[in-house]
Amino acid sequence: MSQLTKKSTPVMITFIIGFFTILVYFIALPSSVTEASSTLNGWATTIVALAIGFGTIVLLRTHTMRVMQRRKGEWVYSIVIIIGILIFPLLYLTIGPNSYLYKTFYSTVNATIGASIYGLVLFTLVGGMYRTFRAKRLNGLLLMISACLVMLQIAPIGDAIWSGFPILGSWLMDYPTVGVYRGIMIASAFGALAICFRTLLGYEGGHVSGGGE
Amino acid sequence: MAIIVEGRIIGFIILVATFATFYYLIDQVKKGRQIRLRRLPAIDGIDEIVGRAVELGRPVFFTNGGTGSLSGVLAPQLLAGVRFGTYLAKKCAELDAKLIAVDCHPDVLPLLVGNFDDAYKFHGKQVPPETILYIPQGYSYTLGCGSLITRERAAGTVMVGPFQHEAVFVAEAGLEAGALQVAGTARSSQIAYFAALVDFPLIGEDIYAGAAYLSEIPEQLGTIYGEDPFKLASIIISLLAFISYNLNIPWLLNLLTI
Amino acid sequence: MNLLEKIQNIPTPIISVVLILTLTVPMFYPLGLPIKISPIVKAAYDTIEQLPEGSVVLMDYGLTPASVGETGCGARAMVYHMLSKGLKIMFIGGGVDSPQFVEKDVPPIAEILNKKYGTDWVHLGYYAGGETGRAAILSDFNNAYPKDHRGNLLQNLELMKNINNYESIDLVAVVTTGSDVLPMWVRQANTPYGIDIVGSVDGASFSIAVPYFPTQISGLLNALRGGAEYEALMKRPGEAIAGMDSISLQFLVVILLLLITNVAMFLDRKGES
Repeated sequence: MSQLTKKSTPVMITFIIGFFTILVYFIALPSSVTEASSTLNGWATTIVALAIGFGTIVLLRTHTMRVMQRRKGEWVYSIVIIIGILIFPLLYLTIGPNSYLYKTFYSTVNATIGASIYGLVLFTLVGGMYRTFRAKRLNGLLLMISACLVMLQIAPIGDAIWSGFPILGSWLMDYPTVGVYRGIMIASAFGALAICFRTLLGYEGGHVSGGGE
Repeated sequence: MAIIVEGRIIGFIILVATFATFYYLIDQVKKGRQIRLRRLPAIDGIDEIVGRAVELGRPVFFTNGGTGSLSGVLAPQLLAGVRFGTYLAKKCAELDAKLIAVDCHPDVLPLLVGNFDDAYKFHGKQVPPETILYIPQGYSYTLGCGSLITRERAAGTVMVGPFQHEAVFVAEAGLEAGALQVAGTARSSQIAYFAALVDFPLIGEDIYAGAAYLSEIPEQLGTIYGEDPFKLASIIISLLAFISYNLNIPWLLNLLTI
Repeated sequence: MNLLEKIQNIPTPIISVVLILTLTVPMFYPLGLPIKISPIVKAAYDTIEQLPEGSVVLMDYGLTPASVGETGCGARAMVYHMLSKGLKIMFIGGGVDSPQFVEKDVPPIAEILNKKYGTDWVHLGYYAGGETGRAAILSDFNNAYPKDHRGNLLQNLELMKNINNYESIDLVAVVTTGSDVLPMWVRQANTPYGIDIVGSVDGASFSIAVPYFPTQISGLLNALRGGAEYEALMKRPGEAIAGMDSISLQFLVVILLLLITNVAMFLDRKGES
């Protein structure tokens, strides 16, 4: 396949599908055309599901190679990862996701580990806040005050200490925060439009070429 | 019979106007028009990080986010992260700084490998082995990044891309290691963490503007520059809408919803 | 290192131990502080309360092991509310963990309220594709889900007999910790089709979702606090209300820590100058 075909074919497909999807959204078209758009959405969902499988294959390959190479200090953990990757699909295919064993395994291993690691966020965040929320400059002081007000608004103890804390915290969330995030969203939306434009016309080649520009 | 779906006319007009502006400006840049984008402090931060790494003999850490894929809505952020990573790789190749890059996206990995390869070849060098590491998405990625930064005592970290909750972990690990940090994401919920914890934050749109600045590609420069008039128009429309709402003159608000 | 410097550099393990104590002590000695209902949670409650019996709700039950502590309580409270009002719920999930949480949380609630699977609620299962997937679901259910999570053909389920696409949906309820998920539903459900949306999100995503209230999102629960308020509105105190005491103490400790550190920093600077 020539280099031209390799690059221009995916770009052309991207343009046709993308342009068609935009057209269907804005232009009042017959129902047969909108149904075609729904079908395309279904195809996209299937492709994404395949991509998830691809990620699993890459992972299995990487860790199998580590085990085969007996990489010092790593190959034992790679075996654990391989077992972890394979055990759930095996259980799913043999006894099904609604079986007692599958559910128990999930809730006692996967869910517990996930929740525990996420719980570490508290300690990491507090450690980080403790080090950075120092009122050395005005913006540091404002950051600290805002954080404290929002915390006192969320925690019932804030209202118990002083009824003004929830009011101030709510004001902070409802006005400055909302205003700032609306501004960020509008700017991000135009950024997304720019990227959409570049992708449709093939200027954003990252997903097409193997590397470089 | 209406051609455009009711309630989407203004959206259609904005879309057409934006695309026309982008096309015009890209064309202008290709014809030689000079467009100056502001050099972001974070880019100077990257230069500082690499210099610091060489002085201290410690590595630089790079990652482009723990979520998303090239097929999803977060793809632009991933690509922006790759551009920052490529710039960092070029700098590291130039000054012989050790670079550790972690990626958790199977579809982005070949892109990163290719770009790093080109970056090192630009300085007549090869990408050292074990520069780019693949750690799968999820907690393994979060903890892997954190432990790499702490264990290797990174002199600096560059983290640009779509981050989820791993943002706070990884930024805090950098803080603990005493690293100089450049970080940015357009995922609004994580911006606050980066703004609080890193030395050179990139907020939202900054990552796209920075990527355009670094790439110097006419298409990117043209579109970034083309966004500005529409942002200005958004500010003016917001002010007018505020005034019209408070004076109880709903014409503008009604106009925006046709 | 003098005392002021020590205060400014308290080791992380000590902070962690204090936080663990504030987390566990209220479990044995609850404070029982009252919880005020915020307008945004009340709006979510009212949106569901005002739906007539038989209305159809599409619920994106995007819980994960990480998020179940924050948003799970609010999610379960909303499910209880909807089923007790006689609303029909279709559960879908945007994450690979979602089906497990639906199968864990919903059957016990349905059993308490005597609600039948297939007639009052169905579990359609996980779908890939992010925003594209959601658009696909809304445009044609039968195309997106030939079978439900339990392997039943949709045409054999009583609830799904007259449901083809977005026209049959009265409300979208979203439980998520991803800051992009609610905006996705706003773009795919509310903006094109005008479908109401209520959500239960984590704290970090709440500030992203709040700008959409009240025009695009009808109501929102803010993590555990939102769940506690919803439980109070439902008059069914549960884990969320129980957890608020720990939240109160932890936040108080963090604020005191910040205050002490900053006072120490100022005094230290003053001493140096």
